Amino acid sequence: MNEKTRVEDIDRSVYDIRDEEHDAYRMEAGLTPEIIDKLSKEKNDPVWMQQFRLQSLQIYNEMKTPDWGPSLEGLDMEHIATYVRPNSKMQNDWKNVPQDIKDTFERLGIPQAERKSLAGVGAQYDSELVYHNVRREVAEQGVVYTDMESAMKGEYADMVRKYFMKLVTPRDHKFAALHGAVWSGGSFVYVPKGVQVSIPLQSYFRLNAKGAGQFEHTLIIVDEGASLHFIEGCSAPKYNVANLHAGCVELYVKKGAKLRYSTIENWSKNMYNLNTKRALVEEDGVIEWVSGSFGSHVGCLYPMSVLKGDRSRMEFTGVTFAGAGQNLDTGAKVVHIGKDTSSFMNTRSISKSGGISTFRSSVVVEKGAGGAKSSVSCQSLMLDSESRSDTIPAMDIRTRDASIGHEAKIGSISNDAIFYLMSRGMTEEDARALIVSGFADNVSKELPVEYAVEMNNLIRLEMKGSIG
Amino acid sequence: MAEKKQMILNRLPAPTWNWLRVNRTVLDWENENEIDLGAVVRSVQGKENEPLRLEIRGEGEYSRKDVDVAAEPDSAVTIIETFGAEQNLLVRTHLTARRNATIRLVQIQNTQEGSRLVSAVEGECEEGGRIELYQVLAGKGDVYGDNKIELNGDGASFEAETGYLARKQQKVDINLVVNHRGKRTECEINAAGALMDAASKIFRGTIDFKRGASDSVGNEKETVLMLGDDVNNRTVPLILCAEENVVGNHGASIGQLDDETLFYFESRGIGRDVAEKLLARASIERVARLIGDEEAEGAVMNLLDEELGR
Repeated sequence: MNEKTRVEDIDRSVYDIRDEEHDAYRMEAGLTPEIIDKLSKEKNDPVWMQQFRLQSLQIYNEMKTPDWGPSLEGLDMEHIATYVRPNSKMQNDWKNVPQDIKDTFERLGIPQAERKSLAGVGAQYDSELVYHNVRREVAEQGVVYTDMESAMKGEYADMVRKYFMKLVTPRDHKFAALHGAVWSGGSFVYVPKGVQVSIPLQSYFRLNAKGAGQFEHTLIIVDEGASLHFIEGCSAPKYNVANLHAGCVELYVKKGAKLRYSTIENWSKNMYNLNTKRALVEEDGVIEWVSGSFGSHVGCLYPMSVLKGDRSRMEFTGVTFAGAGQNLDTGAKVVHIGKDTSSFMNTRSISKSGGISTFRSSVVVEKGAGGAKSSVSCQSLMLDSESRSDTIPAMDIRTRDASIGHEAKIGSISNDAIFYLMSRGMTEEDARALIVSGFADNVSKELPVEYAVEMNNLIRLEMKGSIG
Repeated sequence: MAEKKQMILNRLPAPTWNWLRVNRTVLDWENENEIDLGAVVRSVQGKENEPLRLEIRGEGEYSRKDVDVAAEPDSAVTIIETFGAEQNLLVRTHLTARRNATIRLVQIQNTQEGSRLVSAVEGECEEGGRIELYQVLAGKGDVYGDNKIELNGDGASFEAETGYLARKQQKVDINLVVNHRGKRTECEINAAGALMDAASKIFRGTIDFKRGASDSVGNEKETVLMLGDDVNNRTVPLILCAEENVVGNHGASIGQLDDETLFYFESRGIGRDVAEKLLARASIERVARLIGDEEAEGAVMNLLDEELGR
C-alpha cells in the first residue's frame, strides 16, 4: 500500500518562547464603560477619541456575534485583558529597547530585516509600540511612518480624525465595534503625491501576555501617483487560555497610486484572530493583498477592497495552512463601483490533522460598474480525512456589462501531472515534491525573498510515497 | 382571512455573510386554506418504456401536490412534471432510486405571470442508484426550487441539467444540495440561463462530500447570460469536503454577449437583439434535447417559440 505524503506541522519553536511578564500596566479583564474610560485616560486620548470609544462599546453591546463561520464559544471577553502596557517607552534605536523584548524581536529576525531590506519598522509588544524607526532618506521624501497615538495627537491629528474608522466603522460587525472601544498601538503611514517608496515598510506585532488581546490600528494613505509596499507580521507564544487579536487595517489608495499589503500571520494556536482589513481605491489605483495564514486557533480574515474609482484594480493572493486544532476561515471581498474596474483572487489552502480550512469570498458588482471584470480561483488540498476544506464563494452581479469568472478545485495531486513529470525523467518522489512545494508558491513568489524564505520554512514538506 | 405563515426554504448548508441575502429564502405562504391536489404514489418495477406524465395545475389561491416515486432495484422510469399555475403552487416530489435503479425527473415550468411555484425535490439513491433531474424554467411566474439529493449508496450518481429564462420582474430562486455519502459517488450539475429586463436569479449549488465518500467526484458549472439593464444575478457555488480522496470542481461564468461572439453573428447578418434571443433560447434547448422525450421536447420548443419567437 502506498504511504501517504506527510506534510510536517509548522515548526513553532522560535515563536513559542515566552518572556516573563514585566508589564508596566495591565488592565483588568472585561468590558465596561469604566474600563474604557480608564484605558482612554491611560492613553491620554483627545476628547473625541474618548467619546468614540464609549460609543463603540455601546455598539458592541448591542450587536450579536455572527451566526455563520467558526464558533467563537471559547472566547470569553470577561477573561481578556484588553490593554497590557510593556515596561518600555517607544524607542527609535534597538539599543534602548529592554533586553528581553529586544531578544524576542532578534529571534524573530526583525532588527536584521530592518538593517538589510526595510525602509522602516514598527514593532509592537502587547498593546504598545516599543520601537519605531524610518530611514532618513525615506523620511526626507516626506513619507510619514509613525505610531498611531503620536499621529492622533500631533501634526497629523486632523488627518487621522478625518480617516479613522470611516472605512471600517464600529457598526461593521461586533468585533469592529470592540476594536473601536479598545484599540491601542498600530501605525500611521502617509506617502505624499508621486513618491515611490522602493523598499518596504514593516510592522510586527508580538502578543506576549497571557489571556490578553491586541487591537492595533493601521491607517495608511497613499496619495496620488505614489506607491508603497507594507509588510505586516505577527506571532505569539502559546498558552492554554484564549488570546484575542481584533486589529483593524484601513487603506486609502488615491488616484493612480499603488499599495501592496503583505501579511504573514503566525499567531499561536490559542489565538482568536478576528482582524478586519479594508481598502478604498480611487481612479486608476491598485491594491494588492498578499496573505499567508498559518497560525491561530480560530481565524476570520477577509480583506475587502472597494473599487470606487474608474479603472481601479484589486489583486488578492493568499495561502492558508490549517493544522491540528485550527479553524481558519479566510478569503476576500471586493465591491466594484467605478467603471472598468477589475479584481483577481488566487488562493490556495492545505488542511491536515483535523484542521479546518474555509475559503469564503464575495464579489459584488454594482449597477453602475460597467466594464467590470473579476476572476476568482481557489484550490484546496486535503491531506487526510480528519480534516475539512470548504469553499463558500458568492457573486452578486447587478449589471449586464460585467465579465465574471469563478473556479474552485478540491482534491489530491493529479496523477496526470505526476506521470508527465516522471515521463521527463523525474522520480515519483521528486515529482510529488515539486508539485506540492509549488502549491503554496502563489504567495511566496510575491514576497521579498527574505519573507519568502521565512514562509517556506513555515511549511516543511516531507514527501514519502503518494498523496491520496 | 387566513393567517399567512412564513415558509423558509433554500437554506444554504453553510451560511455566509447575511448582507449577501443568499443564506435562505423566506416566503409568505398561506397553509390553512391550501388546497390539497392529492398525491401520486408509484412503485416502479422493471424498466418502464412510457414516462409518467403529470400535468400539475394549481387551484385556488394556494394549492399543493405531492409526488412519491420509488424505483425498485434494477428498474428505470421517467417522470415528466409540467407545471401550470396562475397563483401559488407547491409541489413536493420525493424520489427513491433503489439498487441500480434510474429515475429521470423532467420538470417544465410554464406558469403564468404573477404566479409563484415552489418545487421541492428530495431524492435518495441506494447502491448504484441514479437520479437525473432536467429542469426547464421558461414560464412567466416566479419559481423557487429547493432540491436535495442524498447519494447514500456506493456508486450512486446524480446529474442535474437546468435551463432558465427569466424576464420582466421575474424571480428564479434555486437551491440544489447534493450530499455524497457512499463511496465512488458522482454528481454533475450544469445550469445555464439568461436574464432579461429586470429579472433576478439566485442559484445555490452545493456539493457536499461527507466523510466516507472516498473516490467520489462532483462537478458543477453555471453560465449566466445577462441581457437586461436591470438584472440581478447571484451565484453561490459551494464545495464542502470532509473526505480526503475526492475530486470536486466548480466553475461559473457570468456576463453579456461578448464582442467576439457578437461580431460572429453580425458578420452573418444577425443583429444583437436576435443574437441575444438565439443564445437565450440555446440554454433551454440544450436541456430539452437531453430529455429524450419527443412530446416533452416539443412542448418546450413551443414554449420558447411563444416567448422568444422562432
